[in-house]
Amino acid sequence: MDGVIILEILQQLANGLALGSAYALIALGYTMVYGIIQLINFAHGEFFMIGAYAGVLAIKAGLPLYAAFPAAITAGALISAGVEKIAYKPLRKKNSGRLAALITAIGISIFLQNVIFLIPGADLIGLGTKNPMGIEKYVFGSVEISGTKVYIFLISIILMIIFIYIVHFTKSGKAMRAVSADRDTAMLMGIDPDRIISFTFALGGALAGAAGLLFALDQNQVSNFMGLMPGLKAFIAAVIGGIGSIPRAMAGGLILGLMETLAVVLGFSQFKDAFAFIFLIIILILKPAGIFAMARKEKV
Amino acid sequence: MYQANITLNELQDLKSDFELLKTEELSIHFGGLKAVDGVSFDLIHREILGIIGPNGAGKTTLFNLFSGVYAPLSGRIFFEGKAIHGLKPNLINERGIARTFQNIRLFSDLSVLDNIRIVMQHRADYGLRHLLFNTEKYRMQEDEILRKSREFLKIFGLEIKHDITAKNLSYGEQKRLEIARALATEPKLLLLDEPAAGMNTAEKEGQIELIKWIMLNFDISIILIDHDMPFVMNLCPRIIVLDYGKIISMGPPGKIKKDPEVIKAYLGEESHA
Repeated sequence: MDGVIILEILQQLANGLALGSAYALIALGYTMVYGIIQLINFAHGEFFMIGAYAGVLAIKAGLPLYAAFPAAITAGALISAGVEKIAYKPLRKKNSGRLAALITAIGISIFLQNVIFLIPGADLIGLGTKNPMGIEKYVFGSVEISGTKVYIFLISIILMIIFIYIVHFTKSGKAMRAVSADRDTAMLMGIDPDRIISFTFALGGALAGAAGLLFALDQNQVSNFMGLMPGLKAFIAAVIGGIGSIPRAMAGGLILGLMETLAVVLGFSQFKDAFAFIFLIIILILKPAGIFAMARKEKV
Repeated sequence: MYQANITLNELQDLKSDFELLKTEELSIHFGGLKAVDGVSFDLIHREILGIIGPNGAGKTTLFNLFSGVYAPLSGRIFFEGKAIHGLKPNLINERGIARTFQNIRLFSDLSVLDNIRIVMQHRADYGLRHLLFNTEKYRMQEDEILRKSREFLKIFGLEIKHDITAKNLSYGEQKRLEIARALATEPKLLLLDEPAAGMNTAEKEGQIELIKWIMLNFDISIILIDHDMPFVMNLCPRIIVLDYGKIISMGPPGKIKKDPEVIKAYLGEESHA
């Protein structure tokens, strides 16, 4: 009997880490965009959805998995940078304020969901038996873990390592940190903030696109509303960690994924979404700047 | 620290004939307030020009116009003969104007070395491709950037603090790092906003030598703003006095000191000294 419980816990732990690392991938986009232009980009979940569609269509067209990921990543990056250019940049140029941008983001989100819905036959596309991840299982002694979950976890971790490398070692990544620290000063030091903001959106969109394909492979389908819940959850993850910070968003994603899985283990699987939002409310009441936030010393 | 060992008169003789910056009837108003009102002057290559004036005289606003933070309401600014008024700050910086700030504005959460490296890397011409494949070009340019950054830190006595977060430096060190970062953008004109603020007499003397040394060694022009009269008078062969956004006097320290307009506007309470 004990063995069964341990097996159950390990399986759920794998589920939690897989879900959490995918949340973390999406949350990075939220946190970066917030860090650089103080916008909660509620259209981010739709970049995730568009990336998933691109990846799934590539697989249905007969392309292998290693070609489907670049397709999802490119689609995510293009839609993200495109939305920034068409919708947010004109607002920024007119100094329209944060509220206008936030409402625009919600508008873009609803628009993209419904555009896909209007394409005949596009609202739900199943992968069927074409799913390259299949239903492989890894057996460790008496523990069985689903292969897809392991792949999701590993691919997410690899993408996050590449991402951190880009942020810390490329000149655009460093310029991004400079713009995020002080946009006006960065500009006076010769850095073009518009170019860096586009780069930030593209990078966030790329990660969201990859996460979208991972979700699609796990669910074996894509739908036009698939970005809504993961988008909100990733937003929660970013807030839990402390929005604006890259490592904290990743940690927030993992914590949220594990929390949700814990809810399932405890027998509340129907309430796991409610769990995430209740968790958000508790965090906002107790530690509004994120769980990792330390008391800020005020300089006088 | 570096010593220039050069007198004011020698500095005066060093100036070339090349006109670097020229302003014509520069004006900007905020509401009813004329912050800068019809300012015209020019600046020669290898000149150190001081701008003084009482609080609110429009000194920092003038810097904001030169660096593109504000566009002038009327009037024109020429840099190396080309109009630059109304350009975005990053483009003006690319043309060769860099500045520091009255209230220090470093990238405070980045390391001392990264503060310098970021502005240099931004100019490097390798792309993501070079980085991912760790090409020769990437490594050579990165090595060069690191070497140059360390050189800058050495000049400003910050080499041993290269991995400290900028916000943890002392006030004086932060001011020096800000100058180093501005120089790392390879300017032809450096704008220093109160470079001696918060310094004691000995530090101010060191700062005078450093600024002279920067001008000579980097072969650039410098415009500086400061409240400290002896500091400006010991450093700048030519001084502009602003009051209510207008130039009320311009010339060598000797002339400024005796100008009754200046004494009235600025030295009023100190005129007995």
